[in-house]
Amino acid sequence: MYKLVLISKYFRRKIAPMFAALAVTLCTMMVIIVISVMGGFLDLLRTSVQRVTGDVIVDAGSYTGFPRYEQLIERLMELPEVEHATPIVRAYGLIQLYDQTLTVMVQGIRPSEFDQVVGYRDALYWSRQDLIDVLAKQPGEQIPDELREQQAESLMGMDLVEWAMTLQPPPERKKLADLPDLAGAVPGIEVNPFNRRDDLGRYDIDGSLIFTDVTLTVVPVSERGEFLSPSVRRFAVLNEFKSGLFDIDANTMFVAFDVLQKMLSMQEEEGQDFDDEGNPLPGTFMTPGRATEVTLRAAPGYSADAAANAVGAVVADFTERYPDLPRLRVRTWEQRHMQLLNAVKNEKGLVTFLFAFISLVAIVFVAVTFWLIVLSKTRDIGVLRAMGASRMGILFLFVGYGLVIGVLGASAGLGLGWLQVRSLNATQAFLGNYLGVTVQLLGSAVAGAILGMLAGVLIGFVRRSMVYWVVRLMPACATLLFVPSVVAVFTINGYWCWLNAHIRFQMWDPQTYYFDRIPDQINLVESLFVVLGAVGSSVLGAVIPALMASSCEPIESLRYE
Amino acid sequence: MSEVLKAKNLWRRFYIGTNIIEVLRGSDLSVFRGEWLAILGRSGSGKSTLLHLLGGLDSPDVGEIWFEDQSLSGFSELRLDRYRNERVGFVFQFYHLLPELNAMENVMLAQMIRTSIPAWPRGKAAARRHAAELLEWVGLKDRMTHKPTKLSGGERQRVAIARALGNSPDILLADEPTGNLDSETSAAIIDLFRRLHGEGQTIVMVTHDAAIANVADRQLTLSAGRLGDDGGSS
Repeated sequence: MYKLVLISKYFRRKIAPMFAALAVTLCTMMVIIVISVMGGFLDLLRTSVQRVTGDVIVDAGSYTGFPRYEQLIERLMELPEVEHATPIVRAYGLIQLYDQTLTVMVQGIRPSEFDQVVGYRDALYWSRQDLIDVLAKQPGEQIPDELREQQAESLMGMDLVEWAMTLQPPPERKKLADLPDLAGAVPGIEVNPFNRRDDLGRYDIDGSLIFTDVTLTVVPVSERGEFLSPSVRRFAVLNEFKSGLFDIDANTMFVAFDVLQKMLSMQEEEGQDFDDEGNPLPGTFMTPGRATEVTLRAAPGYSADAAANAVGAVVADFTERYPDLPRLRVRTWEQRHMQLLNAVKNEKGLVTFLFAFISLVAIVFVAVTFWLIVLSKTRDIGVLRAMGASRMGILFLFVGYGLVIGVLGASAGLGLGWLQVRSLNATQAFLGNYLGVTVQLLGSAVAGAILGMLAGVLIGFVRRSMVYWVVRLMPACATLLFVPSVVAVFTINGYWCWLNAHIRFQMWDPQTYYFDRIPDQINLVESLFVVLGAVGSSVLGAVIPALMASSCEPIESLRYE
Repeated sequence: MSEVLKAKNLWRRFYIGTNIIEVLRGSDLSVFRGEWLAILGRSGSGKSTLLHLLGGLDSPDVGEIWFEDQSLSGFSELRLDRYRNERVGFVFQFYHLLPELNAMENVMLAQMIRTSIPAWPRGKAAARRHAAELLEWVGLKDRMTHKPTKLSGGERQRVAIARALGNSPDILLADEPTGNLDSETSAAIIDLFRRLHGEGQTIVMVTHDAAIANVADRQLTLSAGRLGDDGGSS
């Protein structure tokens, strides 16, 4: 029992173990923040990837695509593991945008089906509200009220999300802009090289491609892989999407499935055979339409891997039954984006390892602290041994002490780490917006305190009671400087703004980074492992001094000076 | 009177660098139940070493110590720990109270060492009662919650005596219990020992002060590593 009593007493009475616990707290907190932020990035990345990629993808690994995709979808939809499936046509294309020619990956989609498979609707960036907001921001005197009302009325019919969900420009667009009726396109938000972002990372609709026409050029490829004549068509940009994954958002444009299929000569067509002399043979035949992939969503309760296994079996059977089909491959979304995901996963692992390695300092700190404690307690150890405490008892006393320090330090680290992770964005906002005024106020207080001390010292020399005057004058001078500073900061708005504009710190600039928020979710399982590691480290740090304490001969301990 | 502790031909050497210091050179000793034995000797004569050997804190290079006819050298380390916890009570010259514990907790220490954590809730009340009785007995009823730093030297030694009695030991081993105290306080401490002896407690006390040694039933003088009989006073 003495072990518990002494551990509790030692912990309450000693400053050194408090510092050891603080070291454990800080290290735990550091690793939890790193693991959470890096894990948060990985999660954001995974979410972003999933936003434009189905759970399972069936493709031929070729831009010539494969036929019978509708039949395949019918078969796949019979599987309990599959909830929705949709065909996609993919091709590299060139778009003419303003005076720029850009390369994009064009995806022909059936928007409503695509939305059931991935989070297409959620990825659409602009809504009608954005248009209304722009109108509201326009200075009143420049636009007559009559025109403003007309604009507002016309905007009510402009549902940018619904336009993108059909990929067909509504008649309003033609009416509004007097433009020819074009097919719709939804490019990624980063396709536009002239987009603009504000301080919070939000894109500016004025710099968007909404209402802009783009010219798309694609090169169809025959089933035998031969290039056919390039196909060119103009599209009207109806919305833009943001998946959150830069590579996708900068290189992808969605258009209607049928439109792209036709441009790529992959649509179902009536054909005619010819004899050896080139004369048409009687009768016609149908060339089936082709898609480059079928992407699907796993049914609730089934993982992507489980769905991929079930789909794989169906695809194998399907390709065996129809010899005209090329070899098809089945991949989960993770397999498709393996390179990117693994890179970030490895980065997370590496950074976590590095910080965990740095945290070894906690072990050293605990070890040094315990070494000192054991040295200072040598005689007490002798007394305990003289009173019948066993070597194991002494060992457990100090190991238990290390355990308590570890548990308390790591728990505090978990709590503080959680708080810090949750408030990262708020901290970032504070540092970005109010650092200047904070520095001003703190600086005034410190300057006042220093002046107060100097004045105290000077007067102290004269009055020969330095300490008294230091104590007396320091708060007075601090207050004298601090009060006008507070008044100045809070009354002169321009000064405040100037300070905050010039003294600011942004650890995370949303204009630079693709994610506009710092991940602020904590992974409890990983955090618990960190806590266990911290407790283990603390115990490890205590073991050697504890062994030293337990190996002390009682008589030597009693004689210790 | 039955023999509670017996030592035969005790030798103890210390090695300091290349020098060998023979502190005990074949000392024999018998302690009888209920007697108060004083071992007299000058500083450095080996009195404390002898006491440590008797208390199982140290082991002789040569010779044997028996407690109730059982040889301490045959004890395992765990049994030796139990021997120190249950059979022997130590009083040190410099008190050696644990500074983090108050007077009552210091007195309860032996009981705490003996009791396991699960058994403590059942035994705690009895241990507290016993410690309170002991502190009252040594005259520190109103100092029970005081930390050692808040006590005077004499009070600390009283706590140390109460602590040594915490497990009702067979033998109380006192190492210069008045060596750090003024004469008045020393007299009070000796008075405590006298009362203890009166209640039948076996006491072995080492001291360099012949006047204090004279209070004991029997005195032995340790000189040149050997114990000599000075004759009993009672």
